[in-house]
Amino acid sequence: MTLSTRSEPYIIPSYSLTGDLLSYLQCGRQYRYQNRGALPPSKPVQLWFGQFIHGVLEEAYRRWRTQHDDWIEGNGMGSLLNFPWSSLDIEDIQNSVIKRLAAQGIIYRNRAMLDLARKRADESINTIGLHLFPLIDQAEVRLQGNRKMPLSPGTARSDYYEISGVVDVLTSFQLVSANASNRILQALMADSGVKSTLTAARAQSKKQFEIIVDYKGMRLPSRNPNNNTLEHYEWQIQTYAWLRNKQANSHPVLAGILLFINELVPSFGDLEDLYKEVIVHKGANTTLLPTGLDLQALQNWNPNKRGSKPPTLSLEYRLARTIHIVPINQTTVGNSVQQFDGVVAEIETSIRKESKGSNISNSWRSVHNSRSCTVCDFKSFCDTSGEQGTPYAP
Amino acid sequence: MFTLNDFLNTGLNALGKQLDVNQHRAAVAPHNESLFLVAGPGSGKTTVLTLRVLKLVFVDGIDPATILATTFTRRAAAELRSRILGWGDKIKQALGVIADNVQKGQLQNLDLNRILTGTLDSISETVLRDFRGPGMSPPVVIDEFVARGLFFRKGVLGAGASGNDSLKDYLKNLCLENRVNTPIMANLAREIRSRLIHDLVDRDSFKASQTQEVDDLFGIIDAYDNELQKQQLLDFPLLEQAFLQNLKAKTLTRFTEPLKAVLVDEYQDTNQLQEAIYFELAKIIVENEGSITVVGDDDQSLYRFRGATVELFRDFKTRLTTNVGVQPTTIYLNTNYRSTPVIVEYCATYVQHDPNYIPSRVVGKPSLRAGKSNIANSFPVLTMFRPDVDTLATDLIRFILDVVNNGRQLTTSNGQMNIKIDPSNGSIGDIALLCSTPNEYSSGGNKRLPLLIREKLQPAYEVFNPRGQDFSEITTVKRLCGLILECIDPQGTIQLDLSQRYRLPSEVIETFNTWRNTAEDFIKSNPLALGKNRHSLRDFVIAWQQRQPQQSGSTWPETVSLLKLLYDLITWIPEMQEDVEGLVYLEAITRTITQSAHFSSFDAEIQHNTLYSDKSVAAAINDILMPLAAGQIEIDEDLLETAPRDRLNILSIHQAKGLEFPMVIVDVGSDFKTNHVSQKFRRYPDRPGKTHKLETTLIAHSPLGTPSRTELDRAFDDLIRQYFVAFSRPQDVLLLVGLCDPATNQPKLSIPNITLGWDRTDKSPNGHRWPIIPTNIIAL
Repeated sequence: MTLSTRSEPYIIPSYSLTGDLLSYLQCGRQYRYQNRGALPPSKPVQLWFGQFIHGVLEEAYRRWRTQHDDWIEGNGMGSLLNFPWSSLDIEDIQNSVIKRLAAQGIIYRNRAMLDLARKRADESINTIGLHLFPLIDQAEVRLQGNRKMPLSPGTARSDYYEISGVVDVLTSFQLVSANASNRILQALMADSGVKSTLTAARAQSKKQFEIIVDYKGMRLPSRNPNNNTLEHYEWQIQTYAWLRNKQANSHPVLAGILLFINELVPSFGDLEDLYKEVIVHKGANTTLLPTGLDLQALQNWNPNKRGSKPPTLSLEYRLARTIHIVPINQTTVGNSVQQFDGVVAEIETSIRKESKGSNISNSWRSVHNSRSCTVCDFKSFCDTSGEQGTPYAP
Repeated sequence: MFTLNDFLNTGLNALGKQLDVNQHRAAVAPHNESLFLVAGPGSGKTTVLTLRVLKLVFVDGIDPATILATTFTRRAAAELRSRILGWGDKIKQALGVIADNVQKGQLQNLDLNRILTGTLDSISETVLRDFRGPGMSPPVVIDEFVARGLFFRKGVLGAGASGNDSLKDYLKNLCLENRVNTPIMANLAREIRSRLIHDLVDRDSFKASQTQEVDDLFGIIDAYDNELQKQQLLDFPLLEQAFLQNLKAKTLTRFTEPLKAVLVDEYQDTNQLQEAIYFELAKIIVENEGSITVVGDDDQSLYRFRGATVELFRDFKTRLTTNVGVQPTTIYLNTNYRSTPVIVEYCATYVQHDPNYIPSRVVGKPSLRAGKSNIANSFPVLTMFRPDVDTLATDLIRFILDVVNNGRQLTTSNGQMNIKIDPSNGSIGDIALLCSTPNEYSSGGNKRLPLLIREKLQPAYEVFNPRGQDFSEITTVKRLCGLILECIDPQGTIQLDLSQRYRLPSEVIETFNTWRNTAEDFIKSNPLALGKNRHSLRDFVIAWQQRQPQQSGSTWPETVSLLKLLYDLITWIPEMQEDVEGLVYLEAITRTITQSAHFSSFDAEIQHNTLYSDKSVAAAINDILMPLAAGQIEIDEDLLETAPRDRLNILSIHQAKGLEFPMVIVDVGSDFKTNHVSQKFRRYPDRPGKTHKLETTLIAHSPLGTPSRTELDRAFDDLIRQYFVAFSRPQDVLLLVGLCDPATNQPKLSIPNITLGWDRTDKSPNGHRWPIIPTNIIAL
C-alpha cells in the first residue's frame, strides 16, 4: 500500500508591479538575489532616492489636503494652500521622511546626494505640487487584482496570480473645473488621444473618467531599442489602469501620467545623458527633443571639457520632460497586461526550475546592460556581467 | 446577492467541495451570527473559514473591503488569501452562468482582492499607515534583531544596569534561572516587558507586589521605550498596543466604521492585548449587524512562551458575551479528514489519557473522530525503540530507505502490508522527523538523533533541517565571516582590544577564532572563482589587509561599505551564489549588517585613514559579527520556499504545526537514557518553567487575574499539547521512536514520560498506560 504524496499548499503568488515585475525586466538574476532573496544593495542610492521622493510628495499632499479640507469647511486658509511653500515647511517634511527611512535602515550615503534630493523635492512640491495637488481625488490608492496564471496547469504554483500597485487618482470632476493654466491639464490637452475626451468633458461636465498618476525618481528614459525602460513603465501604468477599472466606484481610465521627477533638477549625469542623446546620437531616440534656446544651450556645451558649465534648461522644457502622458484604451491595456503575463510566466518557470534542484544561474536569466551591470553587487559571479571573477579590493 | 441554495449547489459544486454537518453549519451561518469554532487537527478549518467569507460575499452581499481575516503566520495568511481569491473566482464564474442581469452587474463590481488578510501585526501596520490621521507619521516597525540590539544598548547599558547584581538576583528568582549574566538579564527584561504589554498588566500593581529591584527593571524598560519614542519606532508589542489605543480613541473610524466581519484563525494563541483589539472591532461590527468568527484548538496551543493565553480561547463564549454583549454559537469541527482512523484514535486517546488535563480544555469538547472511516487496511501505529541512539539512527535509516526504495513489509493483524512511497510522485520529502528540538548536538556536545540521521543518510539523500545547526557553525558562514574578520582586522588586534575592554563572552571569542582558522584554511585551498580572468582570493584578502587597492592608480577610499566587501567575497563561495540555502544564510548576514544601523555608529562602513578607522572596525565586530557569533540571528525560513523537496524533513514540533506529511516519525525519547533531572521538563516536569512562573506573577496583575491552573499543571498541559500536535501531523503512518530497555526491547517505561502514557498523578513505577491504544500498534 503506498503512502499519499505530500501536497503543496495552495498559494496564489502576489506580484508587485514595481517591486517584482519591473525589477525582473531589468535583470532576472538580480531580481532573484535582491527581491526574492532579500539581499540589500551595497549602494542603495536609487532605493533611497525613490523612497525619499515618494515619501516627501505623499506627505506634502497629505498636509496640503488637510489644510484644503479645513479651508472648505470655513476654517481659514492655511499657508500650504499658497505656492511656493516656505523652505521651513518643506524641510520639515523632508526631515521627517529622512528620519523614517533611516529607521528602516535606508540611509543616504553622501551629502551631495542628499542636497540634490532636497532640491528635487523642493522643486517637485512647488512646481508639480502646485498643479497636481488640486486635481487629486484619492491619493495612494492600493490596487490589487487577479489574473489567470499564464502557464499550463501543473507547471506553476497555482492557477492565478495576484498583481498589485499604488497610484494617485485624478477624476474628471477636478479636471473639468481646473483652470486652463494648470500644467497637468495642459499636458493632457497636448495629447491628441486624450484631448477630445477631455474637451468634451469640460464642455459638458458630465462624462466621468479618471487619470492615474505615478511618480518616478529618475530622468525620462530614451526610446533606445536596447533599453525598453520607458516602454516598461508605460506597460506598468496601463496595467494600473486595468487594476483600477476592476475596482468598484471607479470610472474608465482615460490616461496615465508618469512624473519623472529628476527632470525638474537634472544632475550633471542626467544632462550628460541628454547631451549624448540629442547631440552625439542626433536625437535618434530622444523621447522629447529640445528646441530653441534649450537646444542651443546643449549644443554649446561640452561635458568632456573641464570647467564647462552645464546648461540651464528652461522650465517649460523641464516640465515637458517631467510630465509624460500615456493614453489608455482597451487595446493598449490588453497588450500591456499580456506583457506582464509573460513576465510572470518566466518568473514562475524559474521558480519551478529552482525547486526541482536547478541552481540559481541556470534557473534565472540575466540581462547584460553595461550601465546596470557596472553597479550590480552580483557582477563578480555573474557570467553575463563581463566582470565575472574579478572583484577588485576595495 | 444569490440565494444560499445557488451558492451551495452551483458555487460549491464548481469547487467539487462537500461539507459535513458541522462544517456546513459554520460556513452558512447567518452574517450576524458570531461563531466560536473549536477545530481539531485536519478538520478543514481553512476550508470552513474560506467558505464562510465567500458566503458572506456571494449570499449576504457583504462588500469584501469590509471583511478582515487574521491568521497567526504570514504563510497561513497567504494560504487563506489564496483560497479566498482562487475559490472565489471559480464560484464567481459558476454563478455568472445562472445570474440574472442585476446579479451579473453585482458580480462585475465584485472585488474579492479588497478583503484584508494578514497577521494581526501586518494588519495593524497597514491600518495605522493607510488610515492615519493628518500629521501622523506612518509606523516604522523594527524586527526582533533590532529590538534586541536596541534593548541591550539603550535599555540595559543605557540604564547602567550591566553591573547590577541585585537586579540579576531578582530576575534569577523571578524567572527560575540558574544563572543570570548581563545578556541573560537583557533577554529576561525584554521578555517581561513584552508580557507587561501583551497581558495588559497594571504596572503600579505589579511594582507594588515586588521588591525594590523592580524599579531597576523598569529603569531598563523605560530607557528602551524612551529610545524608541525618540527614534519614532515601534516594536511588535508597541505596534499592537498603538493599534488598540487608536481603536479605543476612535481615530481609525474610516477603517472601522464599514467593517462587517472579522475572522480570526488560531485564536488559541491570542494574548489579552490581542483579545482587546478583537473585542473593540467586534463591538463595532456587531453594531453594523455583522459578526466575529474565531477558530482554534486549545489542544494545539503551543505559544505560551510567546505570551499566548489559552484560557482566552477556552472561555471565549463567556468572554465575548461579557465584553461585547453577544453570545457566539459554538460549533465543534471534530472530524479529522487528514489521518487514518488508527492515527485519529491514537491522538484522541493520547490527548485524554491524563485526567488532570481535561479541565484545561474547552468544556463539552467531543472526541476527535476519523473522517476517513472507509479506508481499508490503514497502517497501524509503528514504534521503534532501541538500546542507544546510534543503533536507533541506523535502524531508522534502514527503514526510511526501504520505504523510499522498494517498500517495507509488515505483518499485521490484517495480514501483510507493504509501506512504500508513491512510485510515481512520491519522494523522501513525504517523510518528516519531528523532535522537541531539531538541534544536532546536545548541550553536552553529544550527537543527537537529527545529526546521526543526517550523517547516516548521506550520500543517498540530504535532510532539510534549517534550524538544526548553529548558524555560526555552518561551513559557508564560517568561511565568509572569517574572511570578513581577516580582511578588516588582519592581526586580530581590534578583536583583542574589544574582548579585553568589553569582556566579550568566551564563546564568542572562540567562534571568532574558529572563523578565522576556517578562513585561513579556505584561502590556502586556493578556491577558484568562475570567469576567464579570475582573481585569487589570497590577493584580494591581502589587498584588504594592507588597504592597498588592487586597481593601479587608485587610492583606498575613506569609507567602504561592509556589504560591498561581503558581496566581493562571495565570488569565491559558490554555495552562497547558487544554492537556495546558501542564499538564505547570506541574507541573514546582510540583514544583520543593514539593521545594525539602528544602534551602531559608522553605518556598517569601514573607514580608512581617519580618526575613526579602528573604531569603525570595532563597531563592525561588536555590532555585526558578535551577534552572528552569539547565535542571535535567525534565518528567514520563508526564503526557503524553493528548496528542493526531495529531502528528509527534520523539524521541531513547533515548526511542524499546521503542516502534514504522509509519514511522520516522532522522537519521544531518544535523549532519555536515564531519569535525569535536567531533561524532565521535556517529558515529565517536576517543576514549572520560567514561562509558567512569569505568567503567574504577571497575570495576577492583569484583567485576567491569577491563573486557575497551577504552574506545574500548566507545564504538563503544554507538554501534552506539544505531542498532540506532533501525533496529529501524519496522514498515513505514525512512527514513534526512542530508547528501549536492552533487556526487554520495550520502551523505557520506568522513565516517566507523558508520551508513553504516564499521567501526572500516578507516580508509581507502573504509572503509565502503554501502549496508548491497545491494538493496531506494532513494534519494528
